[in-house]
Order: sequence, then C-alpha cells, then structure tokens
Amino acid sequence: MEDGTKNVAKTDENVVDAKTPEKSTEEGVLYIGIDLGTSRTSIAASNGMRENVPSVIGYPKDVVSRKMLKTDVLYGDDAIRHRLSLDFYRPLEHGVIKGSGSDNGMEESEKEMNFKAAKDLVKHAIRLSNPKTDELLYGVIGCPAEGSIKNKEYIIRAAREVLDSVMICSEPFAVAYGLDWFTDLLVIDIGAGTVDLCRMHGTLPEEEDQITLTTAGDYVDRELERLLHDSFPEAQFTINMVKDIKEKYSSVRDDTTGIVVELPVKGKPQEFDITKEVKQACASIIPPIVEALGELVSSFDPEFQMQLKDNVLLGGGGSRIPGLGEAVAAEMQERLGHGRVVTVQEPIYAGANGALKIAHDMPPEFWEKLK
Amino acid sequence: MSRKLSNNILQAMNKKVRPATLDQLKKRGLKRVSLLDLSDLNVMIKEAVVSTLGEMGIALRPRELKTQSDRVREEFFNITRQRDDLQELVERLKGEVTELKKNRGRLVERVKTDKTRLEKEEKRKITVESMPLSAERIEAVKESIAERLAELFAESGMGVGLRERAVSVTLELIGEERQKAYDEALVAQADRVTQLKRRISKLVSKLDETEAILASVEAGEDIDLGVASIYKSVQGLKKGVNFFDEKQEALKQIFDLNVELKKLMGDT
Repeated sequence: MEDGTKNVAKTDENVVDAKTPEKSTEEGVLYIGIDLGTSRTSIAASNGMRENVPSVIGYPKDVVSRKMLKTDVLYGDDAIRHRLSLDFYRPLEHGVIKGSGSDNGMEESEKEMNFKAAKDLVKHAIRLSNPKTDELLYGVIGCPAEGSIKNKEYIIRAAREVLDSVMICSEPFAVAYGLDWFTDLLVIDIGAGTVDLCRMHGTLPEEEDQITLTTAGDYVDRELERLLHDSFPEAQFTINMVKDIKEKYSSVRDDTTGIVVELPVKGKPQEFDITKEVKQACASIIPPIVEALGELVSSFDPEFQMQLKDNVLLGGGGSRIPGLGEAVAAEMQERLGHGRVVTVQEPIYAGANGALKIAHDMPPEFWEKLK
Repeated sequence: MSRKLSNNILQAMNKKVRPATLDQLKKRGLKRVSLLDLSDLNVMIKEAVVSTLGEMGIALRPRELKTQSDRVREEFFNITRQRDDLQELVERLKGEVTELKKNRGRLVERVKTDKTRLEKEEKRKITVESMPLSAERIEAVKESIAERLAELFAESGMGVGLRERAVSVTLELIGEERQKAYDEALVAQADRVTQLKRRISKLVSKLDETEAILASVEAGEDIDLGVASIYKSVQGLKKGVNFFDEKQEALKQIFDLNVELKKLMGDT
C-alpha cells in the first residue's frame, strides 16, 4: 500500500485525492456492520466488538443540567435514566429518521434537531466498536429499503464523519445475507415501530418485494394496555409499565399459564393474573403478518410459491416472543395451506452481523470508489 | 505441577535479577551479600503460610498444608508475572505516545501544506487566453478549419475577402476550443478546492483527536487505544464460497445503489 503522502498527486496533474492521508491498510481494516433500529441500534465489528444501545439520545436542558450531568450528550440507557433533565429524542420512527418524509407537518426546527440526534446516534454507534485510531474504517448500515433519499442521505452524511467509506443496504437483505440464505425466502423483521416483510429471490429486494406494517412491538404495548384497562379497570399503570410487562412475560404459547403481576389499586399493590391478556395482545400481530405474507406469496411466480412458504425467516426483537414462529406457521397453514418458519438465533444482532458480512465481502475497489 | 511451578518462579525471579560483578560491588562499598536460592524461597513461602494459618488458629494436615503452600507459590508467581506484563504494557504505551507525538507533528505539517495549497488554488486566476491547447485539441482545430474552409470555398469560390473570412473563422474556432478548455479548468479547480477543504477538515479532526489523546496522557488519565481488527488488509468475497455468483451480483447492486445515492446527494 502506498504511503499516505503518495495518495496526493501534484496539483498540476489535476488529480487530488481527498482520502485521509495518514490511514492505510498497513495499520489494519476494521469492518463495521450497523443495524439502525427504531428501538435499538446494534453494531458488530471485525475486532470482535458487539454492542447494542437503545436508539435514544438526550441533550441537557439547561446549564444546570449540563453541570450536573457533566456532558453535552447522553445516549441509550444513560439518556433514559436522566430523561427528565434532558431534551430527549427518539430520532427514528417506523424505521426512518423522523421528519425525513416529504410532508409530515413537523416544525422545521424540530426536524433539524431530530436529524442532529440521528447523526449523533449513528456516530455513537460507530464509536461503540472501539476502533483503533489508525485503522481504515469501512461500514455497512442496514436501514429500511423504503426510506426516503433524505433519510439515507442523513445516515450516510453522519457515518462519513467517522468512517472512511460507508454503504447502506436493505435491512432484511442484510439479515438474510448474514445467514447465507437469500434465494426464495420471506423475511419477517419485527421491530418496535414496524414489521418489515421482504421477499428475496437472489437479488436485492425491490419495492414490490416489500410490505411494511405498523402492527409491531409498540402496537402490542398499546393493545395490552387496552386489554388490561378492559379487564382490570381498577388497576393503575402506565404504558412504560405495560412495556416492561411485555418484555418480561410475552408469549403466544398455548401452554403458558400463571402470568401474575403486581399493579397498584388506589395506591396498594395487588396481584392480577394477566395470562389471557398478554397472549391475546402478543397474538394480535399474527393475522396482519400472515395476510401480508399471503400478498407476497400470491404475487410471486406460482412455480416457486411453495418454496417461499417453506422458507420463512423470523427476525427482529419481536421474534423473541416465545412460540411466535410456531404460531405464524400454524396461521400460514390455515390461510395459505403451508408454512415453515425459522426464527433467527440472535434477533438483536442478526442485522448487524449481516451488514458486517456484506462489508467484509465487498470488493476493495468499491470501497475506494465510495470514499 | 509443583516442579513446573518452581521453574516458573525461578524464571520470573531470574528476569528480576540484576547481575553485578565483584568489582561493582566493591565500588559500592559492599563486602558481603546475602544469597537467596529457590529452595529458600519455597521454604519461606511455606513458613509464611504456616505462620499465617497459626495466627488465625487454623491447623492443617501436611497434605492440605502442601496444597495451600502451592497455591500461595502460584499466586506469588502470578504477581511476578503480572508485574512483568505491566512493565511491558508501560513500555508499549510509551512507544505509542512517542508515535502519537510524531503523528501530531506530521498532521500539523500536512494541514499547513494543504492550507497553502488551498490558498494558492483559490487565488489561481484562470483566463481564456492562458488556456493551453493540448495536442488532441490542436488536432481537432485543424480538422475543423479544414472542414470550414472547404465549405467556404464551395460557397463563395475565390472571391474578395475570402482570406479575411478564413482567418476570422480560424480564430473563432481556436477561441471556442479555448473556451471549452477554460470551462473544464474551472470545474477542475472547483473540484480541487472542494477536495482540499474536505481533506483539511478530516486532517484537523484527526489532529484534534490526537491532541485529546496526548492531553489525556499528560494528565495521567486512562487511555483507551481501541481494539484492533482481525484484518490487516481489505478483504472481499472469496471464490469458492456458497452462492458466490449470487453474492457477487448482490454486492454489485448494493454498490450501484450507493453510487446512485452519492450522485443524488450531489457529491463529486
């Protein structure tokens, strides 16, 4: 590899290379895969680092908060813990940066702050890989294929401030690539904001290969909240408490019994058996998923429809609901005549692992051209 | 186990030993030295264990005592080894700090050079008249002149003013070519300025990082130098992997989409 100074040709030859001159592959190449999710952001890197952080960020509200917190910005769990002292942002919604759509009625200043928060979050995620300062950093970021150009542009601009070269790719594709499984396959990625369904047939998915539903993790929370209100009107709880209950007890298995939680009634804790409500709320996402699967199957070449139904991959944080894979397969059996569902082993890191694998496999000249 | 442990302790102790000749000892005014060999050390460790246990009112059977002594000896060896490791780490860190300082010097120099180049580039005046014509362009001018003159001769025969018109057309053509070269040079200059600005901005940010690390070193703070990648060079899809053709095609598509996106973002 050339010395950094050699990368810069003489001015009179009309060629100037903008690469950071002090970095070269002599010092190593760190590949980074990032899954930028509405709820959590995960990274996996070729130095063995794997981290995930809630996709939230906060800036001290005033000088007093800043002095108390001793920082200009807090991320993830730290931000959640101190959210009352912070201007608190959850910059991603339905898989994209809030305000990156063309017409969403958001104030310009609010949009700008969301973009800043998203940018800081991307940079923080990259820093979590703890790279050595002199290594070349090449990253692939998985984001929803349906996101607007502006959304992708902000992600790339943020990443380029830290990475030497960056690419973005469709998130479900990254999951499938990471598992070496991307022909005649249906990927269901259940996140907090959206359920992304994607049909793979050897190439990158196009618009007609994808369906996005909003009946995802947050929807289950709202559904459980409603059911609990109906069944136990005397119990007091907030949506955050409901979220915690779901995280702890979610299940759609028939044999699940005895989910008992303590909830305050007029200030006094009381036990409630909420098994039925939890199962019902969790199962509420299954019919829309199977209906969307049916759409993707029926619009596919009839010769390969059976193969698609036989290869359904369930990923994302929502896939951790016990019994969900079997329940989706059973619903497919009933509605579509057949269904075989495999749940990814590491739902939190499947996207980041796939993006890392894509980064590793990407030819060197492609990285060079995108610098 | 026990013999191995003894050897390890011996090796660790040997590393710590500082040899001295009799002359050196004499110069320091020493007439007697105390000797301690490995067996003494083993005995001392055992005695320390017995004494400590005795103080605590614990009596052990010979076999248990031996086990405890071995454990203490092992711990003694580990501490010795850890101190060696720490010493090595300190030496490595010292090397890295020296390297960082050198890097800072290089960065300062590069920022300075690039800023001078940027200033020069921004000041450089490009005029139509100063545009040199390359061999290719001269060849193109010749062809154009021949074509236009042939048209003129065909239109007006050998009439009056033909020479003046031919000269005027020739100058016009050369002017057009120069204008093209001028436009291209302006674009190239703008590109160079943009690239130099980006480069300077990256160098400055790198310099800031280096300064921050050095400031931490000087303040005696803990520094995280990062975790090294397992790859020393850029990788890429290896032939023979599963779905090689499909993967190659997909990677090309991802790249093409990103190139398209880069264009939409207005990047050069």
